[in-house]
Amino acid sequence: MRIQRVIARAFGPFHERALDLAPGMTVVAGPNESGKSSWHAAVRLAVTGLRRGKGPGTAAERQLAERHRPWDQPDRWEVEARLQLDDGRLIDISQDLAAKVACRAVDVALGRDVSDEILDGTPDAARWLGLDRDSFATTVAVNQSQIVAVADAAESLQEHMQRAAATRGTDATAAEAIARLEQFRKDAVGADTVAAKGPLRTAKNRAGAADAALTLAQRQHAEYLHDAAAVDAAERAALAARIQLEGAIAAQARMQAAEIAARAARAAALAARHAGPPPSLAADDQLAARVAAARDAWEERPAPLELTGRSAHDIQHDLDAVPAPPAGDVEPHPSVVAAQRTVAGLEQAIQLLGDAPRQPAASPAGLDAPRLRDLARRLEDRELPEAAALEAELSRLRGSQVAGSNVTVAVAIGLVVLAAGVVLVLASMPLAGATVGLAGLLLAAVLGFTGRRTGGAAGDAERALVPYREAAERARLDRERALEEALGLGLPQEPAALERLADEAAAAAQAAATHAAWQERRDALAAELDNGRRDLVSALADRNVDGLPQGDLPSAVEAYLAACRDNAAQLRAAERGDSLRGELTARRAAEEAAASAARREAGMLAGLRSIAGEIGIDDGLGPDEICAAIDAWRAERAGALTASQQALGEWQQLQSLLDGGTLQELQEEAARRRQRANELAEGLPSAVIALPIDSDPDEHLATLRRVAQSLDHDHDVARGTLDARRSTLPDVAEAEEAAATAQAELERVTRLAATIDATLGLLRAAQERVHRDLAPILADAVGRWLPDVSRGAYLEASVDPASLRVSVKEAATGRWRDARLLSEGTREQIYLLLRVAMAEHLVTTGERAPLLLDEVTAQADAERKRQLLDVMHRLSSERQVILFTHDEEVLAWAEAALREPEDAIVRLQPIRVGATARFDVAPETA
Amino acid sequence: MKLLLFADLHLDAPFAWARPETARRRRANRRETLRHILALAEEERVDAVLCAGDLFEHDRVTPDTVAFLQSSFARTDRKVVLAPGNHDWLSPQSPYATVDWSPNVSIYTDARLTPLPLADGLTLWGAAHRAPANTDGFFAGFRPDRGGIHLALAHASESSLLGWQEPGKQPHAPFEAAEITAAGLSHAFLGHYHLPRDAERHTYPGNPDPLEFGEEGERGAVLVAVQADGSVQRDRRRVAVSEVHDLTVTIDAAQHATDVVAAVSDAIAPLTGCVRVTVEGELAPDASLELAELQRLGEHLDGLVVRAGEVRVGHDVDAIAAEPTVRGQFVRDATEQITDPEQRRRVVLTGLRALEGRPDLEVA
Repeated sequence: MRIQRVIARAFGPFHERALDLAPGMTVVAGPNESGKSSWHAAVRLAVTGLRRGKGPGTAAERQLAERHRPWDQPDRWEVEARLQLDDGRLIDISQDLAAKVACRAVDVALGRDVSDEILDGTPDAARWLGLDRDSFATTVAVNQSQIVAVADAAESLQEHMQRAAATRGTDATAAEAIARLEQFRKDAVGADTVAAKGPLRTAKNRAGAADAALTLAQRQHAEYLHDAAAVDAAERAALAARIQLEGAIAAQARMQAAEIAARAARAAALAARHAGPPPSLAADDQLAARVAAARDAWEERPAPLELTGRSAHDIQHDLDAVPAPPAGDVEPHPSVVAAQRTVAGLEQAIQLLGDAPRQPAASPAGLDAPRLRDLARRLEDRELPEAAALEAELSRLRGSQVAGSNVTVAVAIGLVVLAAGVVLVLASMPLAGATVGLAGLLLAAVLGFTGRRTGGAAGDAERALVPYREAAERARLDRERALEEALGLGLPQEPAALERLADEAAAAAQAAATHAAWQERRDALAAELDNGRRDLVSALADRNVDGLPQGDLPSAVEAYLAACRDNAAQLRAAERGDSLRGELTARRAAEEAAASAARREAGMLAGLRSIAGEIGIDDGLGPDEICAAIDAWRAERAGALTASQQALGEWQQLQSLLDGGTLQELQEEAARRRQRANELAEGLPSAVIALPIDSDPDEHLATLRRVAQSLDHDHDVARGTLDARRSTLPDVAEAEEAAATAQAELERVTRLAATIDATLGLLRAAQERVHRDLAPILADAVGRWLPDVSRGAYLEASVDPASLRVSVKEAATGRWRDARLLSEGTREQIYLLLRVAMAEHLVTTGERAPLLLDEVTAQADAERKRQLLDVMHRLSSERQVILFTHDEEVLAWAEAALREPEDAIVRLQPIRVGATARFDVAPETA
Repeated sequence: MKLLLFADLHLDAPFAWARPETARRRRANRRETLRHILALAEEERVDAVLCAGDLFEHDRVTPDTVAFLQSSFARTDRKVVLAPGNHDWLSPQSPYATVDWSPNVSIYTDARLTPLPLADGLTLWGAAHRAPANTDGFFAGFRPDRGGIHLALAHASESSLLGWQEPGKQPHAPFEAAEITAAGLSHAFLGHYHLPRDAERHTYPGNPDPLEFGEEGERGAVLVAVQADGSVQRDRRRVAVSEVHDLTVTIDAAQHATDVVAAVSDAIAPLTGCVRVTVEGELAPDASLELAELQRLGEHLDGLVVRAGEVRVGHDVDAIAAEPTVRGQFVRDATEQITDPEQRRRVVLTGLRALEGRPDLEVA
């Protein structure tokens, strides 16, 4: 597409003014306030027109209108253009920018309206390029600020490419969109972890809580219905129990009414028979009792006694013949028997002792055996063989006093003395031995204790041996005195002779002792015998056997024993008297009893006759006849008594039935009871009006009352439970609504999450794919021009598919350099190449889009300007380039570089304030 | 003999779409509707008020509703005959069984037709649902055991009408219309179908107070005059308390959100009660459809539900798809890969809005 001419019918400051453009490069030059921006806008709007729609439009549209509506005729805002399409068609397009009505595109050759091909509310020729109004501006137009941005910030180059790749530059980059979506997901959905607090988790938690509340509400509602049914069941059970109870009460009332009715009927019958109380037979009761007593007494009288055996008189006769009991012993007294046995025993003992033993001989010298033996011992030679050894030992000790052994020596001496003492003891010299031994022991101890400190042990030993020597001396003197004593007594001095004498003396002593013992025993028995005889005499005396000498004692004893036998015989005879007396007493009692019985029978018979007389029976009859008559009388009276008692019982029964009232009152009560029973039974099923036959009705009623009360209580409890549940019962419908609301919110957030996730996935994939496709296109496009525009400095270009970052290959080194690191001028050139490449890529219809450049060299130095202009001029060989500038250097370059008819220069003049430009500027060719 | 028939009041049924206060108001309206029915019965001095089931919802009925029903029926002088339906099915725990109803209330308790003499020679046969589902038909094989005119009251589904009812309707106690005649019944008064129907031998009064948006037909209570030959004359009476509107607002002309708001606001401004608005049409690229924002427009209403209907994307998706850009590739991929039109619309709009740098990234 090439724009051949633009006619501003009414646009900004222009009216009916044309701008002709060359097919190659056109430089529209003019100072400030010459209308360059207006022409720039007019060119674009002539191609695209404005969107048709209600309302004030977008901010950009409002700004555009504000700047470029005609200053003096704001209602008319029109621009036209003639376009040369690459398919050969020539199109005139008119844009009614104010009303957006008189807009159309016409094929010049055919004169046909082709607006429909590009209609978007209004004709938009950008559609022939595959663009729209917005993307036409961002794809076709390059302004000063974009160039400046690329120069100032290397990243702008990449961002521009990304934006163009994403939305043809109209909107955000894909990365920005993705970041925005990610942030929105974070804010509007959030994470789905347990600890998260974002909308999704919150919605889930609320839905869960609402579901739980709904479940609880449904469960409680089910329990409520269950409780209501339980109350109903309890109420029915209580009612049934009450009906059962009321039926039982009615039955009881009916029964009681029947009973009272029966009482009344019975009372009426009794009253008919007994107008008053019946006569009483009580007056005859006493006579009847006495008759009965007399009759019973006679019947029960004792049988008459029949006495047999001897009479009392005979027994008395026999008793009178019985002797008196004896005065003495009837058997030997024990004291006599014992004394007699003692005397006999002693006499036998004396006889057994026998005659006296032989008298002993006298002892020689009148000495006893021990004295003789002691003397013999003293006379024995007691020269001790150890004495010499002892002395020798002492002598040796004296001679061997050695320093340092005093203690040992002293102890040894002590022990020697002790041994000497022992020898003396063994030698029957106990006193001397004990003395010597003790001395030796003391000596050994003292010397042993003190010897350590005494140096003169020999001296001390000498002193210690003195007692030993003194004992030996005393032994010698004792023998000498024994010799003198034996001699003096005329006794032999030989110890053996003395020992024999001692034996003889001992035998004599033994015989003397035996004789003395016999004599002593004989004397004792004799004394005891005397005493025994005295005791026997005394015992006999006690039994009244006196004056008997001891010599006749056996006779006396025998006489006593004979007397005892005689007395025993007398006693046996006397004892029969006692038996007779007992028999006499019994006989007399029996005879008395028989007499008494006879008297009682006579009395009873008299009484019987008497009472028989009282009741009109002949008392002259015999007892049996009287008794028969009495029995007949009693039988007759018993019948009368029974009839009387029956009458009395009925009377009493009547009184009991009336219970103090009258028969009429009782009958009225029966009627009332019957009526009450009927009332109680009214409305009750007949089946429940019953009482158990085989159990206590009162107990039955009590049981029914307890059951009824219990069931009433159960009903009250169930009712209370139901009432309590009612007060707290949640509304299931509201719980369902809350759950539905929470679920709807969860579904909304879940759906939102799914939508965002799907969008993000698609966007990321689209970005990756488009960048991957676009990168080589851009690289080829840039690389095609790069050697020319860089004057051979760079040979190739590369574009990163991920980020669209551009790198160029340095010709001198062959290294790849990031385009962002290149000089500002080079970046500007590459940017222009990329824009052209992008425009070529975005235009999808086969048309070539023109390039509208507005002051793109304003900030560049002379060299950069020339480089940029050279690039643009080269690009114009393939597409139309329209450059607006106020720069004289650019104008000078154009005048030098541009060539007709491919190129053109349009010089704009300043617009006078208040004036309207009308065809006052004609296209000027270069 | 004059009868007043109603059914499917569904006391205590929820309104999942509504705010809590709106839902409560709607439930209160249903009670008020019953008052209207009973008042109409008094006014017309009918011989009996017949309810063909679903008077309340067994799983949701509140103690207060039970007390309301008990006292309402006790206050009327009319005879009240109730046939439990599948929503108020009769169980030992049902209020039908546990409440001490006033003597003027008769409740069918058998799952087969049982008689209730209405007058000499006129018998009203009825049956109860004893379970929430799987109740067999009542009329097949039935024959009255006595002479006279025979009518029926039940909650049952006439098979040929099922397709005309709202989606998801189950054929509880199904029957064929011919079974009524075959059974010797002069007429059957029925519940279950909310869409009203006056057939020759049976009548569905429909739900007397609106339950859902979009309900059509003359729903309410049916005043029935039973003729001597058993035929009936029917007079439908409106007894509803709730006012419900179902609107569609087209937003083709809307260029931005303000236009959408204005369109919806204009549509609902003259209305009262509960309104559902379905937004349809092509949404301009720069406009956004904020349902939550639109929901706030119904402050003067009992309830407002705004939903997106067939809202088309205002972007020239085809043109965008032709772009050799990320945007174009994204639209192409979305079009190819997402089969669900709604999800595709949301994804495309979300992506385009993100590329446009817009903050309104949640698409209704």
